[in-house]
Amino acid sequence: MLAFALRRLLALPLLLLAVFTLVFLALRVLPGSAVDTLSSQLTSAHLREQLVRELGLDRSLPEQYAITLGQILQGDFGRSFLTGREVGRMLATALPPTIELAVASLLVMVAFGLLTGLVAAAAEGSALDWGLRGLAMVLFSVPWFWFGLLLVIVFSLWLGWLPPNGRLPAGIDYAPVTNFVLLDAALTGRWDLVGPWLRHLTLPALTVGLTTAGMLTRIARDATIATARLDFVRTARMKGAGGLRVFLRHVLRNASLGILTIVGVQFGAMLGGSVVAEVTFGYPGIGKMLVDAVTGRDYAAAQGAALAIATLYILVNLATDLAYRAADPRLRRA
Amino acid sequence: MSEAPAGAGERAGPEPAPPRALARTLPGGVGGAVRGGLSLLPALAVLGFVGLALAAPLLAPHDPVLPAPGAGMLLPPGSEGFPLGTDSFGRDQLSRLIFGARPLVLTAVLSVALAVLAGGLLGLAAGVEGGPVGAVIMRTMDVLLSFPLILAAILVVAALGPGTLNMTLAIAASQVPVFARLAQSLAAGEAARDYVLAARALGFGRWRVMLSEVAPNVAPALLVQATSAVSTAALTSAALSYLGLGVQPPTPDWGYMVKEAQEFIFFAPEQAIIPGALIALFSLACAFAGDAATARMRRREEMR
Repeated sequence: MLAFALRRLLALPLLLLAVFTLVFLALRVLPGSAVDTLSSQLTSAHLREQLVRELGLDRSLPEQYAITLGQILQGDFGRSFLTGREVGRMLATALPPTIELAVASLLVMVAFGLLTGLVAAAAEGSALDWGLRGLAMVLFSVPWFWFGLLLVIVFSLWLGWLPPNGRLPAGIDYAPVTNFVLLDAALTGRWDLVGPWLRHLTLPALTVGLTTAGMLTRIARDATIATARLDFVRTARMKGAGGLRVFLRHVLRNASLGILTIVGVQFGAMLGGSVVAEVTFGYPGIGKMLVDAVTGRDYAAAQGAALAIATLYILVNLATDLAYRAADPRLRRA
Repeated sequence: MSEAPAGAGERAGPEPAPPRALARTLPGGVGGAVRGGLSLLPALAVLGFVGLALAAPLLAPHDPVLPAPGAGMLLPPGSEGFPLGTDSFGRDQLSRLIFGARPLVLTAVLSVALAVLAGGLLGLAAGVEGGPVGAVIMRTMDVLLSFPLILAAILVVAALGPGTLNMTLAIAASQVPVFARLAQSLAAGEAARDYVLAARALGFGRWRVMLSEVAPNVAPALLVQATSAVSTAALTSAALSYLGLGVQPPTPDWGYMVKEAQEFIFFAPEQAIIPGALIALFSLACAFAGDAATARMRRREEMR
């Protein structure tokens, strides 16, 4: 287990380097690259020259690569062309909302996916099972942005319960310390922020969580049914263990491995979904930053945001892998 | 998303429930006929969408791009001559919806076809040849897979610029690793079989072994996976267009129509609901068709 963890941790820098290389190449080498388009918008030759020098584009590609990599390693992600702000600062502002949204979506996904999956497994073959499986299929086939808008129509337009966009009410008096609302509330005693924050978080989290829950429903159901058919479950029943005890200690415990893997895999889908949901809900996270940067050809910001999302994804995959090993004694020993 | 379903489903695949197994051994009968009909439904729905895309000029009552003469802006559904109303430019909403099938169906199908070709070839090469070449190909695929699918697509669009063709390439590129992995694992299994050894012993070149011996045995599984992948590709296509990175106005596209309608969501919600529902229906039909194809393939393998 320890050796495995070490090996994965040692591979991490290599993987991040590979990801950086891909992002770097995508933004600079392919024909019609962002930089070309960006500089073609500048009419003045003088301005263009200045930009080219500022971005280091007068140097050779390997040189640019080494310089950019060196700067990023020192925490310097460059300056945004559109906002004039340091990309590192933009990331520090945009990452906390995205992590909040990811955690909230994960809670929604796990709660809904597990519940529906286990109920479907318990009712295997019934109309309820059939209906829940159909629902799961529908949930992972609907476009995220459209599902989000349906929620807005129902909960903001018709019922008027929840705000349709943003992260906090406009004009609220909030000076971020960490920009994690819960943490800031605890640090500065501003507990009045929590209510409005949760109300704004609900619809985006439901959008991302429910549209990614369908896969979990399916896997949780299949894994539970497959485990319940195994011999040791029959043995436990034969020994007189009660239904709930068999389910919790024998079935669920063993089925949880397959479920855990899919939670990790679905996190990738969740990050993708949150890119779109952040745009739909005007939610100031890293996904919205990426889309704004790509749309505005702001390539330092695009590079920073893409690296941040990929890093987040890789770290979560690593954590899932480690958790998987820790949960399965057979793999722990291996 | 479809990164996991095939593999994960196999791992957790339950034994068939008794009543179903019984029904399976008794071909024909009412249950069989109903089930046969139901399993064809998604495929028919997919064909329906393709037909809609192809026949759009015949079906649409108005021009989808130019404002209809004399029509007001944002007419409600049920207006005379405009059964679904008009959009914020005074264009016939029904005609835009009919033409909107084109970019979605085209980009989804074309991008998956490209991904199957490129990923299939890379996977075949890696699986049959193995060695350092195979290792390099597969490690590259692993790195590509360490991106969320839509992030990869957004990056390619960032590099190439927005547009229908570039978006198709972006979606294809983001799906290549999925097919490369599948093809590699299948091809590696085939490469150890006697018929491949025999072909090699007969002096067939590596390309001939790869393409005319191994490829036909790998292709069916790839095609089944492709059916499900169209569903994901359609969702990615719609999402990119919604973000303004895909199909560009004034070309009618369902994803972009939702984006445009979002401004008027409190005023004319149906303008966002209908195109989104059509995207969902197409994606759902592809997902169900993919499931049916997977089930059929598994049944055939069991019979072997």
